[in-house]
Amino acid sequence: MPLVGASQLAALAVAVLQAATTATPAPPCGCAQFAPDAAGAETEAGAALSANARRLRDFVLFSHRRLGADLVQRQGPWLDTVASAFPHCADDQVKLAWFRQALASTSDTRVFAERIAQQSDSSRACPLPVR
Amino acid sequence: MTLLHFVALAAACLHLCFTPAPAFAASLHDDVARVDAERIDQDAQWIALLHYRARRDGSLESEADSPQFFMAGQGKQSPRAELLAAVAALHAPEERQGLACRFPARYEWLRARLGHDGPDSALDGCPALSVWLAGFPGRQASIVFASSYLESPSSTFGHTFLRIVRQSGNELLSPTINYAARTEARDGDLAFVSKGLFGGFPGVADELPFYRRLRTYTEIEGRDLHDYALALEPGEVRRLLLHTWETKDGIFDYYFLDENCAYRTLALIDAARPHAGLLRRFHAVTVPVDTIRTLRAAGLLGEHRVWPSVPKAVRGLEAELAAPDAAAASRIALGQADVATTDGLAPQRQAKLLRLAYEYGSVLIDRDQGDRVQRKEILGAITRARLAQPAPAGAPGLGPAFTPEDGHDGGLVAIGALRRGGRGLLNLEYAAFEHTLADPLPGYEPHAAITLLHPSVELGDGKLRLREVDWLTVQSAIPSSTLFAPQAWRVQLRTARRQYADGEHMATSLAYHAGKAWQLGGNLVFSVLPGASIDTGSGLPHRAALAGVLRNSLGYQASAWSLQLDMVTEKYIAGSRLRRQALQANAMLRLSRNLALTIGAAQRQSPRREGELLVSLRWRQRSLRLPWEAD
Repeated sequence: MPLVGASQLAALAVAVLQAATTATPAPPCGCAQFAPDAAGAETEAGAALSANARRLRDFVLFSHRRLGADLVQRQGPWLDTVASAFPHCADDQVKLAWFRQALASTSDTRVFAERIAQQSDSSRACPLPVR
Repeated sequence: MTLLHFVALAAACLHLCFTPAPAFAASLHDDVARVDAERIDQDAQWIALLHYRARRDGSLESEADSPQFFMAGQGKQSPRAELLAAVAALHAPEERQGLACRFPARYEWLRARLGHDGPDSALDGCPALSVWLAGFPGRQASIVFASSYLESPSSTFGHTFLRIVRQSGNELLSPTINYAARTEARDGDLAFVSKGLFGGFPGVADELPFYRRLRTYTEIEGRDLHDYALALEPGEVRRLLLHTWETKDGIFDYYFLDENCAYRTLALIDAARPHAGLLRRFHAVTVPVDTIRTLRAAGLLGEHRVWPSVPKAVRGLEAELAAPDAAAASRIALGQADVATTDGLAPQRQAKLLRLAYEYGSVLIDRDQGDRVQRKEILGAITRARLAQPAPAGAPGLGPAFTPEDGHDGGLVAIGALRRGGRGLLNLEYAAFEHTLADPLPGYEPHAAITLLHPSVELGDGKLRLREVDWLTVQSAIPSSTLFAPQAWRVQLRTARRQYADGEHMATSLAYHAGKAWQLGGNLVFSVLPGASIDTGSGLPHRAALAGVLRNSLGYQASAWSLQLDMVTEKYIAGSRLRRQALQANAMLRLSRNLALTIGAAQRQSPRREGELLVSLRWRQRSLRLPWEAD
């Protein structure tokens, strides 16, 4: 390998490493944010939500009993509505499992609604899957 | 050229002289000439957008009550004056933007109708309109009919509103357009009724998302919502929205009987599709379900979907469970037993039981029964237990099999042969609105009845005589169950020919009954209704009397036929010492949606013994329609 080429590669590798350590981490896209070991929504509680996320939070708060019933039944229009707020993840089962886990682990409806809204905001820059 | 015509032309010319002229394809003069040549002021779309209706003398008058709805001084009475004012504004740059922002539907239609098809950005210059329109991302619309309350037969007439449909999967976020009266808290009952009947409440439209309506109607009020796709083109939906913007804030007074929610909703659809003539049949009274029938007849209704009443769905779930399981679900929902008490049950049985407990607990919260915080904690515990289960409780329950417009029309005309005391008579009946517990069910809520203005006359021996006027009867006989124990009740105001010691006399009575009903299996319901009746009439010694009444009924209501047996015992406790007993049976066979055959028999001891047999053909007609009124 020519010397110049090797030094260029090394410089590139250093630059990539630096970028990875200094830049803000990219949002978890696809279904990664719903993975069981995902860190969850990064936004701090009380942080400003986008208009869409606020709309979703209000929906969850207002309809949480029907949404809860849909989550138990694993189907229904309330579940569809919340799932459709995460179009970048095409795997409905992964989303369902995350919603169910979130519901089971939160006793306060407001916390549950906020968590879903933050989850939505944390992925709003994600590209939609190609169909 | 009329004076009005001249003034409009002169006003526009003045504007054109002192402001830079925009590049219009046609001049004001050309457009005014076109308006007259093509009688554009009589165009169905213009008539619909301005809400002109024909008066008795054949002239037109707009239903809009706010002067701000008109650009011309005579606009309320003159479609032509209003149109010329709009055309003049279209050609006057200073007024044009105002026309576009205040009356965007008129503006868009008029431009298209006059052939102004060049590029135009006037609507883009309306920020408030743009923000409002952004809340309606869909280009399809549906109309939603809210059926009656479960325990309130007086809501039989229903309610309608519009939904602007978002894409599939997101439909609960769809915005709705709901027209209602803006009432004020300081209005007392009398003012409320008076303003509702004679005008005084401004009619306003609000735009809450559909899930909020679902919560109100299906959960809190326990009503089914029937959602019908409207066969409107995207351009028509846009016109509907733009016209809603023009009329949404106090343009019309609200009237309970005629210009109500259903009428205004239909008028919005009429503005979108004026040639369908949707409003033609509505004059004195608008019954919401009749507007649905009109849309069906005009071919404007598409796919139908039911959002079922939550309390009714809970009753359905309860019926699927054995009584001990329903009782266990009740105890869990009420906090009298722990969720863990179901742990030993088979998974499917446990799933159904917990589902019922959850839904029942949810209804208790909606009805504000018990401590709200405690109820929510119980629901949370049930939810966590259900989420831990391996399988759900099965498919959700289905909605009603029939749509509201499948039901018979509300009005009634009946002719029958009556035999009483060995005499044959002709029996004639009319009702402004009637649905009884003896009517077959399709399209109506079971166990609820309402009759409004129902006179019966007899013709025999060359004489016509009034037999009875049932002014108002309202009855609810919802059966009790393990979870629910609603009161069965009945109120009736009627004037009837009744037997007294010295013969027959007319008497007016007001009766109220309250008791219980039980389901004996299938559609068979037994009710016991003790009550009291205040009677007035010349047959009573003191012209007034108070009676205790016991009414026991056995009813069977199905889709093709129904049967009702009543045993009524009446004993006066003040003003008379009379005692009456009656045993009556009515069977009704549905021949078509609006035609039924009824056979009735009665045996009375009041005080003389008397038997009666009636065979009658009952024809249904539009609610509150008079027999001589054209449809």
